[in-house]
Amino acid sequence: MLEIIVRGLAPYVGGNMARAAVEGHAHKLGLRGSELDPSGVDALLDTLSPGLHVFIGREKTVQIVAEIRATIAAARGRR
Amino acid sequence: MRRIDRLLVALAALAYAVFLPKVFWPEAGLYAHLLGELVLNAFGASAKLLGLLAGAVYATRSALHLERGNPARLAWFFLGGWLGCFFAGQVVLSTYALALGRSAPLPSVGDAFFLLGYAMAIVAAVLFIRAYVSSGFPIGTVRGHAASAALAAALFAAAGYALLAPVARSETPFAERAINVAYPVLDFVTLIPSLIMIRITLHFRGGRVWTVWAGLLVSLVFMAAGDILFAYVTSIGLKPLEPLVDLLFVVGYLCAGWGTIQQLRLETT
Repeated sequence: MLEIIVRGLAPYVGGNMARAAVEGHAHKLGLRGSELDPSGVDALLDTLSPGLHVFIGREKTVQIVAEIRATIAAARGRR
Repeated sequence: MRRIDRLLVALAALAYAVFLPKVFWPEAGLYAHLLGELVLNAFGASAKLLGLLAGAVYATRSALHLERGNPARLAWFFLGGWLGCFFAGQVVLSTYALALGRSAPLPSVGDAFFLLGYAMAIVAAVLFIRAYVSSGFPIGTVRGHAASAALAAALFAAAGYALLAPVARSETPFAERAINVAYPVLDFVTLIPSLIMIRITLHFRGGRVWTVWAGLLVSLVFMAAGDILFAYVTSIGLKPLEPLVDLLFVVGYLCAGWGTIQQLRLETT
């Protein structure tokens, strides 16, 4: 799941920043491991979003986060 | 690439093609017959005005597109104000060069716009740093950025003294010397927070945020180099390098326009 979030953010903030931001925020939230439950994903995306607003605005952030959620839902559905 | 991007890149390439050879072969037939002073001035003025106008418009649109309360919104407004003031200043300089057929006096009304523009650029850079640091993204510590700023200030002070002392001691009238020294000094002051922005945005390499800042920061470096060279050209008589001054400003302003276009596109597409 973390990898999907990183891949969703990378085109905008770059691969290194996406990974550092996702892992840093996950660590702060006490989320461990690459597999997150739905509440963990929500918490992580909610924490990342305000920071993303600064760089790309709320409208675009909402769109990116929605795409990430859709990708995660699709990945869960395949299992 | 979209049409406006292609236009800016094409103008930058054309600027290199027409201004750079003139530094080495000023007496070439091309410059005597086809690309005379008036043609080069018209091209340079048009390219500069287009880059600055694009920058002012797109930065302001980027600010308007950001939601109220976004910490970067005011910074983008100031960035648009900076480029808008430079546009107004350039209109004054171009009017002298193209409509009145002579160089603008130093100082002129245009300098008031340029000086106001610098103030806005400095405020914008500081606001961007505050906004980006507040994002919670891992972009370095405040202490680390402050240390970089202090180091940059010391280096720029030393470099500025070495570069500008001959200009300050030149035989030109006081007002002209003051303007010639003021612009590079303001460039150095603007470059200090800009260097912090370079440090911050380097973390975004490979992303679209980085492309925005690559354009804007390259623009600042070209403008600073243009101002320093302009001071030498007018104060110490390095007239053969004048086409290089035009080239630096043209490319710098076009890069500023390009960067702001990338920001609006980042927010909207």
